[in-house]
Amino acid sequence: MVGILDGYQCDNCGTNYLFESAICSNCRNGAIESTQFTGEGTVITCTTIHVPPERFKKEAPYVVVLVDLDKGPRLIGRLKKGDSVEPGVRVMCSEFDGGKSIMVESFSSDSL
Amino acid sequence: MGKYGLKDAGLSRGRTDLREVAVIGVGSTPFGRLSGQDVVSIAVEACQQAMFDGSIGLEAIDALYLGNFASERLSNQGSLASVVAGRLGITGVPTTKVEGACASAGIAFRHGYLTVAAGLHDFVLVAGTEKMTDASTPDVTAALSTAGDEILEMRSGLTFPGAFAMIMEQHMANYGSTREQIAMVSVKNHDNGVTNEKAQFRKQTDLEEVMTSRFVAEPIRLFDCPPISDGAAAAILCPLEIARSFCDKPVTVLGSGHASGPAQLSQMEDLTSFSASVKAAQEAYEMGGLGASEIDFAEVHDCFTISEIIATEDLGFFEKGQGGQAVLDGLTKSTGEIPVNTSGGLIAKGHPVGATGLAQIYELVQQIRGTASNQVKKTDIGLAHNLGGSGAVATVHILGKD
Repeated sequence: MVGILDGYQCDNCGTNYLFESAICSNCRNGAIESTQFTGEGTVITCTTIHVPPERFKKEAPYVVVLVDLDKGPRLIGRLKKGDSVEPGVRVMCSEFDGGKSIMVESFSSDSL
Repeated sequence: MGKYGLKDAGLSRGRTDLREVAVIGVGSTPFGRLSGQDVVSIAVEACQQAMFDGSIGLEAIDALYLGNFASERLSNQGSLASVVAGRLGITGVPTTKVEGACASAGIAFRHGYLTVAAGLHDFVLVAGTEKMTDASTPDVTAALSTAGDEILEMRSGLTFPGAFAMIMEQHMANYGSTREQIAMVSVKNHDNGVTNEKAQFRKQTDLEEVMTSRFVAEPIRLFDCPPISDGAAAAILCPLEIARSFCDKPVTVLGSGHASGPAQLSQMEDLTSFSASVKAAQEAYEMGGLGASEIDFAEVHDCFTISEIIATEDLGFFEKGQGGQAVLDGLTKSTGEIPVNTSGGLIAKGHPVGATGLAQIYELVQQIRGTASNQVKKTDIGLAHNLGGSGAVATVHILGKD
C-alpha cells in the first residue's frame, strides 16, 4: 500500500506544504502549485496520548506521530491502532476518514 | 524584510518618542476552583483590586484591554470586554478582548502599554480572566486544542500535552536532559507555591511523586502539567511622569516584546526552541538596553515542566541545552542565582489560561515593591514571559524599580 497525500509545492524553490499558502515562507514567491506526496517517511518523535479531547475519547490511549516525509513536508498523524513506532523508524502515511485525519502505519504492519 | 523595507523608506524601528510607562496598580483573585463565581465576576474582582491598589477611580480609566481565551466555549459568553466594562461601570470607553491562547493577557498588557506609550491614553486597565473548572476535562482539553492548527494537526488527535511531550522527548534526545532534571521544575514550583496565598496548590511535592504520577501524554505526567483553574488578574498602566506625582513606588515598564511563531509542531525548525520567545525577548531587551544577565528574577511560561526549561534557554538565562542542569543545580530556586517562578508558576499557582500573563505581571510588581509572599532578595529588574500554544505567539515584558 502506498499512501498519497494532497499538498502544495513552491514552483520557485520547491518547498513543500500540506496547506495552501498565499506565499512561500522560504523564498516569498507567490506561485504555489498543488501536488501530491507519497506517504513514506521517518518518525521524528511520537507520544502516547492518555488524556484525549472529547472526540477521540473512545480511541485513547492512542499514539500521535511527527513524521518527516521523504519527498514532502513534516506532518502530524495518528498511529494505526496496534502498531508501535519509535524515533527513526520508517512509516507510511495516508489520508483517511474522508481526508479528515492522517493515519500513520509502521512498515511492519500486516496491512502493508 | 521585503523589497521595500522600513530602512528604504527612511524609517527606523527604534522609536525614541514613546512615553515611559508605569504600572501603578495590580490585582488578582485567588487561583483554583472559584465556586459560585463566573468569568465576568472574577474579572471585575481583579480590576477593582487593581484600581484600589493604584488609587484610581472609575472615571480615570481611558480604555480596557481584556485577555481571555475561551469564554465563548467554556462560559457561553462573548462580547466579554464590553460585558466586564459594564459590570465595572466604565461603559463608554473603548474595550477590546484580546485572544492569543495562553498568551492572551500578555498581549492585552502589550496593547495597553502601546497605547499609553504612544500617548493615545493616560490610564489603561489591562486584565485577563478565565473560568475553566465548570467544564469536564475532555471539554477543557478540546477547548485548549483549538489553540493549535485544527486542519493540519489537531484533527489527527494531537493535544497540547501531546505537543509538549514530543518537545520534551526531543530535548532529552538532543541535549541529554534527564527526566529527573525536568521533574525538578515541578518540585521547585510547588515549593514556591506554598507561601503564595493566591496559589491553587500550596503543598510541596517530591521527585518520586512527580515521576510516578499518571501519564497525560508520554513522557509528560500529571505533575508536569498545570491544573485546570479559574482566576483573573489585572493591572493599571499610566505614563511614568504622572505616576511619580501620586504613587510612592511606581514600577516601570523597561521593555516590551511581542512576536509570533509557527502554530504547528510540524512547522517548527527546532522542536526545542520557540522562535516567538526568542524574538519577543530580543525586542524587549533592545528596548530596555538590557541583557539577560541583568535580569534579577523572572516569571516564565511553565505550561509544562519542559516549557520552563526551554524558556530559560530561549530568554538567554542559560546556554541551549543547559536549562535542565540549571534547575537540578538550584540556580532557579528562590535562593538561586536567578529565581524563576517565585509565584509557583503555572504549575502550582494555577493556569486560568487567559489570566496567566497578568498574574505574572502581578508577581513581578509585588517582588519589585518588596511585598511578595515569597519575597526574594534582589528584585530590581524582573521579566515576564508568556507563551501561546506551542509557540504560536509570545510576549516578554521587563519591569523595574523607578
